[in-house]
Amino acid sequence: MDKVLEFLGVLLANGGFLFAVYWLAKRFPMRPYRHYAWEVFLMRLLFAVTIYYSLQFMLVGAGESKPPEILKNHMQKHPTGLAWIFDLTWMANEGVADVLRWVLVVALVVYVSGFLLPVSTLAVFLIHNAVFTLNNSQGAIHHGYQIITLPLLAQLVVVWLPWIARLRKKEFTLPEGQHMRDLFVYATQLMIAAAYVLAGVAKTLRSGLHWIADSPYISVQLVKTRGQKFYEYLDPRLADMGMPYAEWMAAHPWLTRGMLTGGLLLELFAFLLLVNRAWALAFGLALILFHKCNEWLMLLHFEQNIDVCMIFLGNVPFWIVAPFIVLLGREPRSLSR
Amino acid sequence: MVPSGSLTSTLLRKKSKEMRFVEKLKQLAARPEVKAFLRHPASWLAWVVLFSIAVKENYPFSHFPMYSGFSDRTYFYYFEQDGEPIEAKRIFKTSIPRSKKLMGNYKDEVEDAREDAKDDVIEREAAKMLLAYLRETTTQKEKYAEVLGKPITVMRKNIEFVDGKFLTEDLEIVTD
Repeated sequence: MDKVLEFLGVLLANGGFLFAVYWLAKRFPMRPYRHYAWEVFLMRLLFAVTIYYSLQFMLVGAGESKPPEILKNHMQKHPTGLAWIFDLTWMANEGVADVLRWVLVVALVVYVSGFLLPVSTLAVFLIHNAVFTLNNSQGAIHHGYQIITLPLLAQLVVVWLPWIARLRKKEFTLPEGQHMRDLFVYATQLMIAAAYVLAGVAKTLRSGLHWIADSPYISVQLVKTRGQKFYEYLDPRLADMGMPYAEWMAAHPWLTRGMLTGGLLLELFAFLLLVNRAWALAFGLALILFHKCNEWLMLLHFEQNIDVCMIFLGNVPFWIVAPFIVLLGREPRSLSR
Repeated sequence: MVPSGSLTSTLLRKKSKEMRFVEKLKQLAARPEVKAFLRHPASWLAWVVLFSIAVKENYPFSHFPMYSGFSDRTYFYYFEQDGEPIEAKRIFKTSIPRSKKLMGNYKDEVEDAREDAKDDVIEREAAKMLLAYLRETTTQKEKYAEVLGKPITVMRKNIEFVDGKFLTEDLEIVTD
């Protein structure tokens, strides 16, 4: 009986989600919209800084006490991705790490400039992907860096589209009024949305409606994550392993369910951030809040997610400049559609 | 005329079944709403989601399975020396959650190699492998030479929610 109920829960949750997607997709066009060249330049600049910092601990380290993390990865006993085909352990070498770091810096500078994007994006993607593929091939999968590599992959596909068309002797055209940079931002946002939708779908596929019913047990995970943090540094402030928070959650199961269901819906419907700038901003801020709550409660840090959401969804520079564009009597590009 | 029940007739039947399926797919793809979906740039999101679910954990793709189900019990591993916990992250430069993930893979390795081994034996063997890995890969060998020069114990902390209360239990797994 339990199994039947479980199956029905999964069926209902996923069926309901698919119906909601169908209904929303008919209502909202979710097509690429126009961007200014300067805002996309700033996006590339800020993203380049995020990429560099995400790789810094792997390739540079921080002085003698913190050598580059990649040096630890001289095996790939549990391959993932490209490590199934290629031996990537050659990167676990101080000299190679140094070369990779400088190639990365040059590639990032060219990437930010906007010239030779097919080459610079390819170089940045290959380095980021290879370094974290090797890191994830050690027997412990980490989910903190896909949020950078996946958007890079999407950008790579976009910047290669005209080149691929040329190779196939076909003409590459965009709809009227649309620019490559619009597609560049759209593909990046699409990949960010996909990462969150996937996280939501993983929950509904595995647990269905049981996920919501069982969600007060997150308090057990809270005790675990805080306990893990305590045993990493023996910080006396974490010695209680978050018991007061966990006990509060366990004592208020419906509030906990409400809170977690909000998070699940945010993940499942993250594709709506493609509707227009305002939706991207709203989802960006909501996702940042979601990560901040995780950080505060579970001590789970997803800095890269926050940075990427801020850059490509929050798009703060545009929203600072937008009122001035309106004051000058011009219509900001695609505030809404 | 192909005799019924022969290999040729079975193959022909199979082929015509496949052709019917392809024909049905073509008809489906020709429907205006399906055409509109396939041409829509946002449909890529659906492909990415489906592809990621299919390939699971293959960087940069992932099906992001974290916290996709909840239970009333869980556990993690930590480290002790002479009966006192040690600062694992500072000494090994490996986080406690990463140690648990490594243990999971080592347990699979031991289980594959010794199919008849009991759970506690598998866990002990895996813990020994974990300690060997951490000792080998730490970049803090000089700074923490004293700690690393002495035996280290892998401990397991069990956490359980029973009758509105959180119960914890510390179990010694192995000392190297």
